[in-house]
Amino acid sequence: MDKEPRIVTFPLFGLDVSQGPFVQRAGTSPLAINVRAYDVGLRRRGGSRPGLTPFFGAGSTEQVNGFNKIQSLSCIVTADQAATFDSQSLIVNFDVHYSESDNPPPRDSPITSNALTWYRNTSPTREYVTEPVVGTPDGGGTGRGTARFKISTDGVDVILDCSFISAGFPGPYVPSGNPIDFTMTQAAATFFNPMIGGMSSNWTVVSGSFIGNYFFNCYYPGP
Amino acid sequence: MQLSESGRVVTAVAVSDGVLKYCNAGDTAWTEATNSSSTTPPLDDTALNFGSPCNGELWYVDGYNYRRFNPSTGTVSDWTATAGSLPVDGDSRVARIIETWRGRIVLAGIIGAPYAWYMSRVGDPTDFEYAPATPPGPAPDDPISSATGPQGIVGDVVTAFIPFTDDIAFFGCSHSLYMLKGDPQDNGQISLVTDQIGIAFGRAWCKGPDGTIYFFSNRCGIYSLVPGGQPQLISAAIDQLLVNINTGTNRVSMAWDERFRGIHIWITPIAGGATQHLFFESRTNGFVQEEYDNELHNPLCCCQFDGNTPEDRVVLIGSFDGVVRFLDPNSATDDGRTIFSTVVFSPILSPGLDEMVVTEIQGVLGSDSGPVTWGILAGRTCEEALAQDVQASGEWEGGRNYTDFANVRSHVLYPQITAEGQWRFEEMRIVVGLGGPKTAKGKE
Repeated sequence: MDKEPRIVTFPLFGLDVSQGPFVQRAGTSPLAINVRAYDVGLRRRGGSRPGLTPFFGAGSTEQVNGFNKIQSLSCIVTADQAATFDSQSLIVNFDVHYSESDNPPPRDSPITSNALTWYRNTSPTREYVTEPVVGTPDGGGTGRGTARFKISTDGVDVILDCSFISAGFPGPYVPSGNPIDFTMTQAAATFFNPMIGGMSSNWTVVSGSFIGNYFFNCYYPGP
Repeated sequence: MQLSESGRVVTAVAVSDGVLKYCNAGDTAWTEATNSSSTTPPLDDTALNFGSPCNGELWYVDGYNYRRFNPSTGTVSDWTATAGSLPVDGDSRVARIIETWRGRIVLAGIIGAPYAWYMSRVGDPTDFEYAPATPPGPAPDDPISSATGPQGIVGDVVTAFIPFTDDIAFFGCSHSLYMLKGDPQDNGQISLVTDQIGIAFGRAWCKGPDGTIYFFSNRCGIYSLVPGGQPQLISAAIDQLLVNINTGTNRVSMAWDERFRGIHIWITPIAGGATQHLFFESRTNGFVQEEYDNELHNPLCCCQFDGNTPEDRVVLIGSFDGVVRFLDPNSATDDGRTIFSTVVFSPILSPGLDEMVVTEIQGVLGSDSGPVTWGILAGRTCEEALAQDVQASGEWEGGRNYTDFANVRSHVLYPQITAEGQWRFEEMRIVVGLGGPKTAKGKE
């Protein structure tokens, strides 16, 4: 046999000490300590194992109860009874879309009140315009209409339909079966709690307001 | 505390010296639970204890005490029955095994009633009223026990209870395994799976994401189990590493690690001391050994923690020194202690068992790898080679390394890598040739 190069890869199939050493199964190792087939970057090539870090972060010496050994560890998941669904919580990326309903008749388009521009569809078949609300709502304008709000929560879109009930008294409502109710408050515009329709008893919104154009603060009292 | 869109709060709870402390994801210290129980500390300070969550509380047993912990109030208190009574034996010893299944708390492992099992009312861990309800008879959610149900005891010492699905659970016993199919209060049946394989005491089991159960047997094998089948031995390749383990003097803890897609099998001497643990890589079905340079780091207990941040989605381990840790992919040390890693590659043999000579070796490591030491083990037999010191060695850095020249002759050659930090391996190239004709097939 002439000299020949051999390419040797990591023994990905781990330890095998069950057979005679001369018939070591391909891809196995007779000795593998503190190594992994998938490295710490999760690539299948071999490497060292990850190290131990204190739960409270590297360098922490926080002990449960002094140098006494730990007898048990458990984990429990509960609901935060006082959670506020702010931008770090429930509702983020609040895209607002608006369209008029076909009943009652649509208003002029676009509906403009001060700096607010509500875009509307031009068809009674509700072809929702996707442009966001621009500016700040000031009172909802006049007449009747329906606004559709699309809320993205953790990748799940929740659609809210809200109606402007009457001039100067804009009150959204959530149709029956809709899981979320909310109000939003702005200096000159208030969307009141639902006046009509069903809502989940688990969801009661205390207050909310625009933050910029897309965000609401809502409150979730817990289940 | 970490905020979440879902409003969930993930709380880790640790018991040390009988004292119960807790912390929420994102906290930086343990908080001692307010003790309103009848003893101080609330749990036995030396006994093995287990907790199981149900209805927003953790329910604890330690063989001497029943306790409940409410994470919302941070209070640990006596767990007393509002109906019926919690099971005890004639010496007032209580359960040592606890799990939650079908919304019931399941208790077992009472020293004076080792074959018995007890289940609370569905959704009410404080209701153990077994007395039959008024006609038309017990409701499906009524409490039930081996003494009151038609299923009776399992006939072997119960060492574990493993919830599988709402319809299936397993009784792990000293030397047997039983499947409970259906709620026992709703005509559920207990049937023998095997009377040849049992489960080590406590929580020497875990479940993978596909529901497969993995357990450490009474005879020190590691098995997988799915309902309808027999336990399958997955540790055949390393049996000789397990066969001498004393399950009485070692505590076996197992946990599925979602990040690293494998199973930790921690085998820790209860009295302390050096030991070797195992990790099962599910993607390659291979085992490797683990050692911690500091014996105080050896895990005595573990749990899955499921916080919001990557560093909070980890398996936690509790150790002798009172510190809770986790396996951190960003850590090159074990909490400051060196990680000594070694891997011996498959042997290089000639087809005719001839003597060979290694003349060159070149390694390629990951570009972000730390340094390693390569070596060549050599001997006339495999066992001899593995028992010897390396015959040649050198250092490799991260990335592609220069070729090293060597002159190692023998009939069996093992490449080896050792290191004292984090490293990542790509491949190595070894140039081998036959030794001289005089020694090619010689004994010496």
